[in-house]
This record gives sequence, structure tokens and C-alpha cells, in this order.
Amino acid sequence: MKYPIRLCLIIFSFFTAGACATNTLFLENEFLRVDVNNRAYNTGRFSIQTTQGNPATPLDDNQPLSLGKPYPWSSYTTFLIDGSPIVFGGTASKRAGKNSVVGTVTRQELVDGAIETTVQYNTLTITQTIQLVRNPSTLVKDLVLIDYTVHNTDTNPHAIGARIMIDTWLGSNDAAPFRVGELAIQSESILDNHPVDYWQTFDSLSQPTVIAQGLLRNPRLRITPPDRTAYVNWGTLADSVWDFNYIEGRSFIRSGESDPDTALAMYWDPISVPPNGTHTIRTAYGLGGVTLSPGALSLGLTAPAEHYFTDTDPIPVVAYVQNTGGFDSSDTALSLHIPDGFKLVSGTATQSIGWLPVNETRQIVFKLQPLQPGKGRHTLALHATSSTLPSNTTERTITTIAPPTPTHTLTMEQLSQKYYKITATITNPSPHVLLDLTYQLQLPDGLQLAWFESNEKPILAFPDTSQETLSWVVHGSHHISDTQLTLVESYAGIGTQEYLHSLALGID
Amino acid sequence: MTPLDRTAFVITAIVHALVALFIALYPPIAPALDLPQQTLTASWHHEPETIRPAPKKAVQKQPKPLAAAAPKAAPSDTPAPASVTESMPVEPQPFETDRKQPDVQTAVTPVYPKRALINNWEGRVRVELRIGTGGQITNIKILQSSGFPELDTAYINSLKQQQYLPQEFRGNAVEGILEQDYTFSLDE
Repeated sequence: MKYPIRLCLIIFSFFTAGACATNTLFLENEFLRVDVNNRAYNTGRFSIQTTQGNPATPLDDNQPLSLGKPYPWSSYTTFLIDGSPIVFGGTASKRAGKNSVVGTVTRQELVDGAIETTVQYNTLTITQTIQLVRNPSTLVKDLVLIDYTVHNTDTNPHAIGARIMIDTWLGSNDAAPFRVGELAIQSESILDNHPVDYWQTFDSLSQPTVIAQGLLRNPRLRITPPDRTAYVNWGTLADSVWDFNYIEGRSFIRSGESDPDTALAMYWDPISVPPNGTHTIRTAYGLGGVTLSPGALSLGLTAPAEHYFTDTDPIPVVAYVQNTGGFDSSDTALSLHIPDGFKLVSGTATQSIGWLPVNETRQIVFKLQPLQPGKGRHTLALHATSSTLPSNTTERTITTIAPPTPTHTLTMEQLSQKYYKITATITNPSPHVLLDLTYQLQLPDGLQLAWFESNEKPILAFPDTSQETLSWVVHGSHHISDTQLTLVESYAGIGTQEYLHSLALGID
Repeated sequence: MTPLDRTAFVITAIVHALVALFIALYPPIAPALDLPQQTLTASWHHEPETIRPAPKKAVQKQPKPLAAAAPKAAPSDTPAPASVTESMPVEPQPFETDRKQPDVQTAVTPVYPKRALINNWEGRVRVELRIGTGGQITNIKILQSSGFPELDTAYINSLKQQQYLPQEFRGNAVEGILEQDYTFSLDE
């Protein structure tokens, strides 16, 4: 009798596992896991949680960064199409965007390490791409890149805006305040065109559960800076899919309830997308790279861990100090030691905070710039002093590097008497995901692109240490056995490079 | 089959047989179980009548004792029962235009609590509201809980935000009872 029961249990568990496997599509590494809802309702909505999180933070294993229980539903994205809000993904079954207009989910699948969801709404095709990418603050893949591309297949232009709402949930804290530049946002706020690179949220500097970070600007990751960001209670953003009743300074108490609950909405104002045109918005959310130094004055220092020396944008640095000493701190001051080869372009190296009450946190933003291009490791040091509490220091390293360069080989083969196929095999040898690469051929006299061929070949996301193949069909006015041509590479944030290749039939 | 399995099988068979025998011997038990529910339902429907008494009912109740006494009184030429009825005070009739029970003037949809959404809690809440002459809630009684206090509270909070019109009798506002219900359900 035991054996049939066991057999039934085994069969049942197989069926259950099968059913669970289809509830979400997910990407996972040793730092993060991102789930995308794959059910009939709320399809395409995502949630993020840690797996082992930051190796230096023991408390942040298996902790949420956004709510995903039981399946992702509470964070969602809205598109404003010609003035009408459309919620991305499947029909909402719950309060977040319920009864709103949605399109038709036509596709959701794992493609080359990314989860792609496509929604058709009238003549617009909207694709959400979710992938884990290398975090510029930590240099590991603990950041989720969230990309939406709208393709207008209509013969008329359409005005398209977007709003991404993230229901932040850090560990067990559904109400952690936001830190944006020098602002500690403790009540409802809207920031218009705020020139900051990221927002962060965490509960404590001395014993953080999870430190999360969202990017608002990053040319290398092609992050689209939002026109405004709203830091509002989740209930209000859940109930209003686009505009909402904003009361500046209102507490984060969830609308209609009594619990505090923070959420963030990033807005991109409508722009006109022409027929056959596309519109892309991109943001990122994941772990924050904050170097911590617990103490009576607990310190945190965050900055990109790597910086391409070709980048012209200054390096943002945020310093945090929290009084965890048990009594008030007087004459508190923060000073940043700037390494050789850098200059301060924003902020002053020594800043007086003065009186800092118990458990209060202050943050200061600095911006640095390398004095001249060059590779190297540079150490920033933050020092806090007080007349009533012991001093403390923390350090963080910035490495300046040359930008990664893809390598390529070209081959040519004859398809018919006058048609040839030119194939470019492009390799990304770096540990970085390269984004927004475009390749074109400059053909010599006697060769031209086939009438159906497009010269521009984009690689939107080029995974690290991988290869991509691009090909062009060309037409020769006479028989060609060998020739020279130029491959033009355009790389966002780096510029355009031309590579001359000699080609013979069948060989590079 | 192990000895333990065999024992379990025998015990199960005996229990089933006893239950079957019990049902066969005591059939009236089923209606008896329904009684409290009937009483409960009736009380809700009768309460408004105590606030807005129906005169017709009062007249119908009165003739019973009078009809029983009539044969005794007939030889002494006492007035007919009809004249007795005429001498009784006639209860005032409600106007046709009276609001027969309180009404919701402005409805408020309950907020589905986030914790309930996370845990997929669903349920129906049924309440009895006592609405005062000014349209204010003077008492709330939960007739049927959803089984989740947070859902019950969310519904009550929405009821408190609603605006009401009081019941009327002969054009004047009177206290009345309103029964309301709401089902928290997830589409999924």
C-alpha cells in the first residue's frame, strides 16, 4: 500500500512542479533573480529579489527588492498613447492597474539570456526586454536592465509616453525611504528633470538588509533619463495608471489603508513617434554598490567601480553618514579625500553637517573627473569627525579603463554569378554587455547592396564574451574574386570606428 | 497489506456504517439545523417594520379577540365589531413618496488591502447599517464575515466614507436599517 501512495505523491509533485515552472519566467545568477509573470493575468509584470545578494552583506540573501508574492503583479508599466493610458502586459487581476486597458500579449519567451514580452496594441508593437547586466557600481551582474521598445507600424504618427512604476520592497521593509542625490525623501515628492544618476533605498547603514539602486542616467547602459520621478505611496500609484492625486509632503501611508508603503514612478513625457519609427526607454534596478563602514558614525560611500577614461561625464559620488552612536553628534563634518589625477567638479571636499541627531542620516553628493585619460586604480576616502562621537573612515576604489572593443572578421562567399554574401563575425571579449552597436559596410566601386538589403545592422544588446554574426547580400557589376571594404562600427558612448578589411572569395 | 492497514480499513468501514445508521434513524435532524438561520433572516426583515409600523397589520391583529367575544355579546345588543374598530385610533399611513429604507447617496468602492492581495484572500462581507435621521451611521453590525478581519475592516472603512439618505415616514426622516454586502474577489 505504501508504494502506490508514494507513486501518487511522486506523480503529483511532478505535475505541481510543471505547473509552477510556467507561472513565471526567470533569470537568476548568484546575486539576483528576476521573475516575469507568465500567467494568464498580469502577464509580463516583473519582480526582483536577491539570491545571495551582495557578498559583503550577509543579511541580504533571498530578500526582495520589489514585491513579487505570490507572482509579480504590484509593479507595472503604463504607456500613454495619444493621451490614453494602456497598461503593459496581460489583464490585471488585482488592484495595481485593475480595469485598465491592455493590449494583447503575443509573445513571451527567454531569448539569449533575456526575457522578452511583446504586446500588440492596435498598430503599435511594444516589446519589454528584461536582462541581468553588469552593474557599473559593483562590476558584477546584480542589475536588471528594463527596456521597452515601441514600434509604430501605423501610417500615422503617434504620441507615446511611458511610466514605469516599481513597488519597492526591501527585505521585510515595504516603506524604506528614497535617497536621491542629496535628498532623503521621507514623504511624497516629485522631482522634475532632477540631474542625478541614480536613486537608492536602504533601511540602515550600520546593518542594512538590502541596499537597492535604480539608475536614472548612464550613457554606457543607454539609460533613458526620465522627465520626472514620483516618490509616492504604492496605493496611489496602484490605483492611478498615469496621473495621480499628488499632495506634496503627504506621508507614504498606503492610500485607503494604514501601513506605510513606498513606490516609485518614472515618467517619460509623450513624444511623437513617426510611421515605422521606434521609441525606446530604458532603466535599471538592482543592488546598490555602497561601501559601508559601521561605527558610531556609520559611513557609506558609493561610486561607479569602473570608469572609461573616454567618458566625458563626471563621476558621481554619494557619501552617507548615519548617527548610530546612541546619542546626538555635534560638530559633525565629512571630508572626501580625492585621489591624484582627479579633480572635484561639483561639491566641496570638506562639508560641515553640524548637529546630527541619533539615527539621522545625511548624504552629500560629489562629482569627480579624471584630469587626463589613463588606466589605473584610484582610492577615494571618506572621513567623518564629530566632537561627541568617535571618527570613522571608509574607502572605495575607482578603476579607470579603456572602453571594451569588439573584434571582427569578415568573409565573402559567392551566392550566384553576381551576388555575394559578406558575413561579419563580431566578438565581444569583454566582461561587459555592450549595448547599441551598429555596423555598416562601405563598399568599393563595383559592389552595391542587394535591393532588399539594409546596410545598418544593429546589435541592441551584445552579451559579454559572446559572438554575433551579421551578413549582407551584395551585388557585383562584374565577377569579383577579391576586394577591400570598410566595416563601420558605431558604439553608443564611444563613437564611430572604421575597419578596413581585405576580402577574397571564401577567405578573410 | 500490513496489519496496520487492515485495522485502519476495518475501523473506517465501522465508522461509515454507524454514520449511515444514524442518518437513517434520525431524519428530522436536518430541518432542525436550519432553524437558527431562518430566525436570523426573519429578524432583519422585521426590524424595519418596528420602526415604520404598518397600520394594516395592527388592524388585522385586533379583530381576533373581538371575533371570539362577539357570540357572547350578541344577545345584549352590543355594538357590532365594526364600530369597535372605528373607535380604535388609526395608525398614520406612510406617504407613497416616502423612502422606504435608507439609501446610499454616494457610493465608495472598498480598497482591496495589499496584504489580502499578496495572500490571495477573497470573501463576502454582509453588514447591517443603522442609519440615523441625519443620514449618519449610528451602528454597524457584521452579519457575515469574509473570514479575514482585514477585508471586513476595509469594507467597513468604505461604508463609513459613503453618504446616505435616511429612511422617511410621512415625509420626515426616521432611523432605519440598511443591509449591504460586498464580495472581495480576484479575477485570477
